[in-house]
Amino acid sequence: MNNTLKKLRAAKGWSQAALGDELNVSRQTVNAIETGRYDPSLPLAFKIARLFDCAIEDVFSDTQAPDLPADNS
Amino acid sequence: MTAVQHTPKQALRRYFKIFIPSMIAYMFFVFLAVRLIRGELVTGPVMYLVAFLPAAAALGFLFSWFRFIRETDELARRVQTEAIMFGVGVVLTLSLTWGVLEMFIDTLPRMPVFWMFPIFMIAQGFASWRLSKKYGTGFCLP
Repeated sequence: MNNTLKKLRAAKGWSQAALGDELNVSRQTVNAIETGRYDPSLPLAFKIARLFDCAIEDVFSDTQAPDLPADNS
Repeated sequence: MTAVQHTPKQALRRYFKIFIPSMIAYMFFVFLAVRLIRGELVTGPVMYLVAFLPAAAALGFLFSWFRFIRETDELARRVQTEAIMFGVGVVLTLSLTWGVLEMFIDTLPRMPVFWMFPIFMIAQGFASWRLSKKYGTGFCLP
């Protein structure tokens, strides 16, 4: 998954540690999410979206192409 | 029952508060048990008690680990859970393979069961380190 967490955090002027404190996770976890090494759970994703007052889709996006329906023709 | 919320930093502090003394106690009790039992300085029920002391200290350490996993954040929990599974896998593979061989080969040296806990700790510690690298978390516990 891609995410815009780093941009959102920068817009607020927060450090990774400060964001971690807001979300009750470690700075390392914030870093792992920002660098795409870790996809957060749904509750944490909701928490992030609410903190930045936006929808989950505004923070996270699925990079995989959607499955195309089988061509039976 | 509502669990008390702790920050990951608090969880780590609480972990070390029990982990460090219990590991020191574990090493001391292993040393003590080996000295006393090998030297035949204790017998009977006292010997069983002395033999149990390292396990008691290890249980203290396991409690701190268990509590840390409950109190820390989800990424640290994932790292620890995956590392524990790796450690269990190593111990399982080793003990089952050697155990089957021991049943049928009389000349095979017996593997002391005592080493299972240290082997587990080393294996999960290695996995924890590798997973910390993978997720870029930069810490390695326990």
